[in-house]
Amino acid sequence: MNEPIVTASGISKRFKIYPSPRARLTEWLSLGALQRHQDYWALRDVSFDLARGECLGVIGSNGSGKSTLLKILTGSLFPTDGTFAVNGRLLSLLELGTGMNPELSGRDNVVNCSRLLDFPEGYAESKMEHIERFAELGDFFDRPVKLYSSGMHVRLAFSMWTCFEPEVLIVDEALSVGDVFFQQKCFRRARELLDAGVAMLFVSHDLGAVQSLCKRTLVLEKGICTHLGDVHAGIRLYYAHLGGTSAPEPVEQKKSVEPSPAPSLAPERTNENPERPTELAASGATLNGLMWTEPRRVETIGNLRVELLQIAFQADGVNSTASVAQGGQLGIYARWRANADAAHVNFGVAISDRTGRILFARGEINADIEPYDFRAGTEIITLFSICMDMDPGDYSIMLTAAEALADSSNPTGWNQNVGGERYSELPCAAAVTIQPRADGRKLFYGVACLSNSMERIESGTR
Amino acid sequence: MGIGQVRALLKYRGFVWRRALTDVRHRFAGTGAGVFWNVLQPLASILLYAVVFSQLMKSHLGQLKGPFGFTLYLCAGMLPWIAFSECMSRGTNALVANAQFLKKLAVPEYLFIAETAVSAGIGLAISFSLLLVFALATGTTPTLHWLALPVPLMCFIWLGYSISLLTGSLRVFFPDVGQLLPLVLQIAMWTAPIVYAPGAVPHALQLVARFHPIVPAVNAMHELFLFSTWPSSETWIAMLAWPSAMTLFSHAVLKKLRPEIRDAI
Repeated sequence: MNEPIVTASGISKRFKIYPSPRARLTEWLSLGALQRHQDYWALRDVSFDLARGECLGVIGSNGSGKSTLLKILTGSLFPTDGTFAVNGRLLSLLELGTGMNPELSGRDNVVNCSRLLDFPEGYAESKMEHIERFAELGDFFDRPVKLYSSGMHVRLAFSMWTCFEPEVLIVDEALSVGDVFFQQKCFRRARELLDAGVAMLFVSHDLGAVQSLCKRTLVLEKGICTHLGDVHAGIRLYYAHLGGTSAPEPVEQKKSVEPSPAPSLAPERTNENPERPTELAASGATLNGLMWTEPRRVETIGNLRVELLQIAFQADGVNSTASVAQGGQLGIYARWRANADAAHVNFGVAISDRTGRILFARGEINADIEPYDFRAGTEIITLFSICMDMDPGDYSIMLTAAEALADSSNPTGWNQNVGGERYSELPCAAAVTIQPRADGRKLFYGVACLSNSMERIESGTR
Repeated sequence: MGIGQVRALLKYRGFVWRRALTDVRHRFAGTGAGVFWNVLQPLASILLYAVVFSQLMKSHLGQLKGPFGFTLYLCAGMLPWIAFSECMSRGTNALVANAQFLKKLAVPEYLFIAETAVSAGIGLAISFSLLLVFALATGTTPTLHWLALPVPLMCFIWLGYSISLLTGSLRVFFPDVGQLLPLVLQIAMWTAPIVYAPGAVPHALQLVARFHPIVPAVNAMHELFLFSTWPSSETWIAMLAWPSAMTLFSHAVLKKLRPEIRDAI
């Protein structure tokens, strides 16, 4: 094991709560003889260490002392007891977003922030090009920050954070802002930094994100560290702290769910093969009124022999924007054009969550659909129809067109592991939002509803 | 104590300087004249005093000849006083106003007070330059003594900074400090020989002036600028001793209160 970069031992923090300024004055003037405050212990005897390249998740309910701990590590609060050492440059994402002067341009604010964070003169300037490129703010980089949208704010802060080369990074819920693409970008960057040896302290209520980034976790409960170690055990313990409030306790579920599964779940539908209209005109009726939009072409790869022109959505058969209720059927229409002859085109779709994890991906050859020989200059529309029985939230959709390779050893006749040429791959072609069910029922917990059934078998009396 | 503070101020000087400049530049943001208000406001004050005291009220001070004698006397004390009181009132609020930084960053608290002091200092440099131009234009002959003027001018700002360290720290816990301050500043101004000559007031008030932190600097201004005399060594020492002592004392208090300031802000 390498030397820990952060060590904290026995950190305690007491806040003195005074009922009024006058009470404080009384106590001060009496030199402490008249006690007028109440002690509030936000942290008691918290110890941990953090190695390079490690991400430690800090979880706990509101008021459990997470923020206090972070502020102590940042140096903005002073511990009442205990010591800590940070052997490297510590940056905290919670400090970067604040302190921007709304009158100054993004560029000037970068310089100001670097001074505030005690970087030498010229450091920010040397990183400026990198920051500007990463922030993707265009002309706005040189406009006053007060004109920024909240998303632009975060973009700027995040770019500074990513370019200032921290050795220890404190991330406080910051990855849950912005759209799903931006969040995925944040998570990708966070993983890159971890790989590069940056140590990270990740504080979040989003347990999925904690699980995806951290191996170890520190669980705080009323200022006391109740767990330090394996992330899964920590999350179980965290749920136990939460008690019966909103915990996905399996026991409770068994009680509330009827023996037969709710009819609206309709798990079979997920296995339906995506159907494809063979010609534009053929299924013209169903295409009426689709709201075609440009796909998001950021980070597109491929030789563009096949190009994605437009996409459109249907939610439960109704033309819609990319939004569907949980458990609803999402129709993803994609209009493709061949810029050159493309052989054996296998169209595919993938859905990723906000941490960038692919939850589901499927190509036509997985559904036993013969690859398509695409003639130059022609167009085609593909339809992927997916039952979105997943946790409400934001997801991104990837659309691909790639060459399928013949493989006689595979029962389908096509190689299902290795593809040929990449014609077009749009990793974040669109964002889709899954809304909670309108009737307010929650039919499952977790990432997605797997095809399932539940029953009871009477086993007689004891 | 003091050494660490000076070192930190040097380390963060770029930040303090940039923020102060931004403050000066943007204080009048959105107004038509913009940055020029920094010049227009003191200029208007000087001209107003000149008209009032040379034409309407015809005030005179014994030794000072010419129609603008009293105007120059008044401005020599009043312009630094305005900078001082601005430094005080903004400096006292500086920690509370910058709570967003202090909540999240390890930066020393006094940076934000230093920032208001630098900003007030820039304002004073502008207004006093205008006064020099006015004095030359109305026929005052410059003397070697003028070269020493920056010392008392600096002392006004330094004193404002050092007292703000104390009041600013207390302001975090007791909002009443902010309400009390204008009153105290009023009393302080009228007990110092700014709008009147030192000898023109009752003996009791002259005694008060002996223990008044700003009086040595006011006297030095008058002597150097108007009377072409060198202040006594007593005046020099008092002028520098007040802000030095205040800095040490205020900094000790701030250091003691620091953890609680961070908790309370």
